[in-house]
Amino acid sequence: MLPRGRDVLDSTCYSELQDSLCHPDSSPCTTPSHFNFGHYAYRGHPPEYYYTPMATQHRPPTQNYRQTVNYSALPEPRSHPSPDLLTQSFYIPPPQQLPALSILDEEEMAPPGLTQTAHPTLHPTFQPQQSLPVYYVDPDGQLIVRQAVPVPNDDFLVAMPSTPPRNFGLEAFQPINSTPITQRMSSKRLPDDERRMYVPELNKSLHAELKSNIFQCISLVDNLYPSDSLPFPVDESLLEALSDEDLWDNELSAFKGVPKDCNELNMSRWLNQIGQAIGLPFGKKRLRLWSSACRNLPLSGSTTLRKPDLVLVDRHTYQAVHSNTISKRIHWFDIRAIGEVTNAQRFPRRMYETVNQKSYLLFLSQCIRRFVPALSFDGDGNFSLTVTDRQGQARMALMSLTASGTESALLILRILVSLMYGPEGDVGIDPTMTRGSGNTIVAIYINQRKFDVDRLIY
Amino acid sequence: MQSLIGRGTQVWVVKHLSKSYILKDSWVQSGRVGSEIDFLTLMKGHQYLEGRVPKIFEGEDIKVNGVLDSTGRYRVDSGQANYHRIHRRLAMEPIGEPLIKFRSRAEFIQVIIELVTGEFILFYWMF
Repeated sequence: MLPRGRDVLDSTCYSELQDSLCHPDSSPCTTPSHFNFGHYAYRGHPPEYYYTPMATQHRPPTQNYRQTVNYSALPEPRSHPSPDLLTQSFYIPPPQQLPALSILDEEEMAPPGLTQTAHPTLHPTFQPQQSLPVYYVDPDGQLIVRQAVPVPNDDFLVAMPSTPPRNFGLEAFQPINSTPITQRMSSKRLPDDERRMYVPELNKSLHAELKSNIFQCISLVDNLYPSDSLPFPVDESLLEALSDEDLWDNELSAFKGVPKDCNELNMSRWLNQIGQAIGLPFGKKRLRLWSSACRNLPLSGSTTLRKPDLVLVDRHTYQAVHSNTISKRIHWFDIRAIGEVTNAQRFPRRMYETVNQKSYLLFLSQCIRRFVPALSFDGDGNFSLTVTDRQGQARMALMSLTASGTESALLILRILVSLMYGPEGDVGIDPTMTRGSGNTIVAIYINQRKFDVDRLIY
Repeated sequence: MQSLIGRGTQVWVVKHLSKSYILKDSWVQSGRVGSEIDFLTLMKGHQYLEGRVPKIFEGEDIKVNGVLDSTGRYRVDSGQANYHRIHRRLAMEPIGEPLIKFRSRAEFIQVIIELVTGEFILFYWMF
């Protein structure tokens, strides 16, 4: 039984372990063929904390276990490469002749005529999380395969005759139980880089960021806005109420007045009209309204100039923006949700890209943001909901506004009820933070305990 | 350029009853082993770790309307439970200075020694 954990740090057991290790296996080597592992040197560390080097010389088993292990299948021993060859280029041993893993002493590993510290350099591609299988044989001759994880230390040296290629060794080592290497947007620019970001660069970065994190979710709306958390019930009776306002055709089971010209102005008017009508039976006023005021004017608050087609803003912001006297320019931190419209027949690719850009900019400008809901409409009368959050994106399948039937109608009504009448949590705002003026946070709650914000560090 | 996907960590200096704390807000993957809140709660009050690790004052996995604030809430059928992110927030003390603001090499080395010592104590204590 090999010791583990703290026990293995005890150097007294190391000598016993060293005697018990040998190389009974001759399985194919996964090591890159251009590198000779025989130049690793190590000393005084327990085997579970470094990986066992690949020996280029066959080593006979230790005296104690010679009778119990059959080594006849091992390849023939071979000699070390000459020192001249080592100083010029990598030694390339034939893979089929490489023996299995073994433990050797520093003197035994050093090739004849070349001391181990001739070119002592820590390997540049060395990664502590890499692991390799190590083969042990216990006193009964039973083969034990374990994963050994190396740690860098002063004794972990490698003779490196020349600069290795960029991807040296990476193809042979697959990290286990470690965070996969991914490239994020912050890898391209530093977080405090305030220079203007243009759309092509933003698109490219967002595409790389989201490509494997987009999920088509069938029940997105049901889970995001469940029936029991809606401000008021969304059912057939609501459609009856819409029918009274001449917005729903009971005979055709379809909406009336869906804009044929799907532009920003028409769509914002229609959405606000529907929003107003669904609140009337319950005597409620819209908390938020759709505005198309920034369709031609980039929003303030970001160096990246973008113009969302539709924005959902609070009632007081809407009134300030659409006032006849002094109109207010919408800031990014005023926005609660976004909408995109197109006259194209099907959702073009740029629709998704523009939703990505604006959702990202909302996250940048609102530290109180949990997720960003985005509604999209196309010229065929289809709509979709996209939710962007810290995990990626969840998209609803396309539904038709104009098709006959109540299913898609109730779905869009459920979305509108939540966005226009629901609490702030429904539009992705964190209700456990209290906003001040602008994008500032004045108080944050943990376990209902209030903390007054002094300053933001990052 | 900040990343869209990830923890989205934000840190504030906050005050509660006129005492200052560090408040950390982040979205952590639910598949990660253990919670930072649990670890810091375990370390709290340990005699050798005093002054070497942050001392937790309050911590919570945020709930909105009584429901755990998680990105998995609306990704029920995604089958990627380990990649869902949970909204976690904790307040800690004391408030330190950034590591780059050392006044002398001796002070810098002293800080590093304390850090390494704390790590060693943690390692032997927890494993």
